[in-house]
Amino acid sequence: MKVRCKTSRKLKPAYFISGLFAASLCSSPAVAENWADRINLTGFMSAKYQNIGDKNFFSGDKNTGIGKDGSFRGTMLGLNLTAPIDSRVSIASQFLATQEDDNYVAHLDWGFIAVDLTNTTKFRAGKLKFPTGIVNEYISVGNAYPWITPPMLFYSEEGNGPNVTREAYTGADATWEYSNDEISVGADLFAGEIKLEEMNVRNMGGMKLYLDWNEEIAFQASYYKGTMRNVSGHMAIMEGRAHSNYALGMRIDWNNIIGYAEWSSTDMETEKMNGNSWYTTWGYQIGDWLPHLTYQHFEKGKDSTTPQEQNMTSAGLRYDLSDTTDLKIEYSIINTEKGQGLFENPVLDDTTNRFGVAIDVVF
Amino acid sequence: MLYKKQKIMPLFLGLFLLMLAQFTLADVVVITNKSTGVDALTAAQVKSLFLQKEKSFSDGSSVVLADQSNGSAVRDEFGNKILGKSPKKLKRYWSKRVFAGKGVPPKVVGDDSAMKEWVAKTPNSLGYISADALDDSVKVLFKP
Repeated sequence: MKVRCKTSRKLKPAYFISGLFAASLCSSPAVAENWADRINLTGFMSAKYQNIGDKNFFSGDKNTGIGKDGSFRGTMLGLNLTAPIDSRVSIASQFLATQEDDNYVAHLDWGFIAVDLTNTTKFRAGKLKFPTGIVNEYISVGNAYPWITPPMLFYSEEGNGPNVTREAYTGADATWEYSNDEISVGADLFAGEIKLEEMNVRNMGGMKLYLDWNEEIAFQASYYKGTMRNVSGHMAIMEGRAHSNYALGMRIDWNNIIGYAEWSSTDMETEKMNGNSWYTTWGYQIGDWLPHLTYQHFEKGKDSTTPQEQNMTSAGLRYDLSDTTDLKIEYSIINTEKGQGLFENPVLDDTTNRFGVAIDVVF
Repeated sequence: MLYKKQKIMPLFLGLFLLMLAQFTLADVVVITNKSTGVDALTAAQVKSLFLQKEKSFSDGSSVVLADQSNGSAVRDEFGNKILGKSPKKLKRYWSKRVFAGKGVPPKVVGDDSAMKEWVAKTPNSLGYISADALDDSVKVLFKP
């Protein structure tokens, strides 16, 4: 069962945001003259090669998943454009081109209008990154975290996965952040809808709270709830049911110690879809090298007739080629205790492995 | 013997002053436009403003930030001593904020002289230069 964002195959929102940018930047001759000074353009790229020791595709199907033959699927290029309209209003967007089906598919990752209400409070509306999960808001930016791909048994958007988080939602949020020397506390109150290929989550609302000490130790808690609407006709059983999720997370980047731990519980009012997932990662930075270990686990449908349980243990190494470029290598052992987990089809072997190598750059 | 000592002492003194001067050269000062309605900042305020946790001076005016080029000694000094972040950690900090849509990194204006020139013509600007490059075209808000 594939559950992906509808916009991933459409470029219309990208045109819309581009038009909005052009209109805002050329609204007067004076503004048009200095547009180059006002617009901020940044980007990132991750080139990944991954394979798996099983004929079964993992975290996707034959077009998107990781297969035995290996592929560069998951390679992506992102471009970020931000422009202030005045001292309080700005427009920001990010376009993402990802490799799927042996072609690159471009789409609007996120794009919104932001209004600074006060020095600490902001209102945003448009297509926004989903705030559940510590790394989800920058999940495409490999250079920002230690793994080749953030723990899939927590972050995967596949329908047979943990259903914890999504790429983005369309709606609005109000963010508040207060900083006092080294400590920041913040809240994000969000509402909107998530559009997927076979299902929409409407009337979705939630809240994220976080505490950050000098970007060295951070804690995060989030909750959201929405109503599922069947779009394709294949998911009639889910029509009108509530989808809710709690998530707790922690991140450490203190001296040379790198650590992540997240736990989440999902309730979709259906025995076979309810579940929880968690992972933990620990690493130690030695000069330009970061060796790290990750254990991740997810289970769902525990009390149903089709329970799923899977875990993955990974050892990885990140090497910083420069401040902006890194090289990664990762080896994982995937153990499927019950059901098929994130595999496309039921597994023949309980245990298999995954290998990956990647290069990430930000510019 | 006394003659030799008299010749060596100024040499050592000169070397010592040269070393001291090199350390002084590495000192960074935080500067703003002369019209800015704020006269001083604390180290914590500088950090908050440069990391965009605060966006305005205490008089309410929006701050316009500038950074020096990646790899410059003054930038590394400013990052390590005032922001408490190595160049690598600073880059990752901005990656997380920018690509999550939560901020825009400061405008990059080049070296000390380019920074001074930009600050001198930009109201409510906030930048930094090495202490030895300071002149009266800009106002100092923070000196470590």
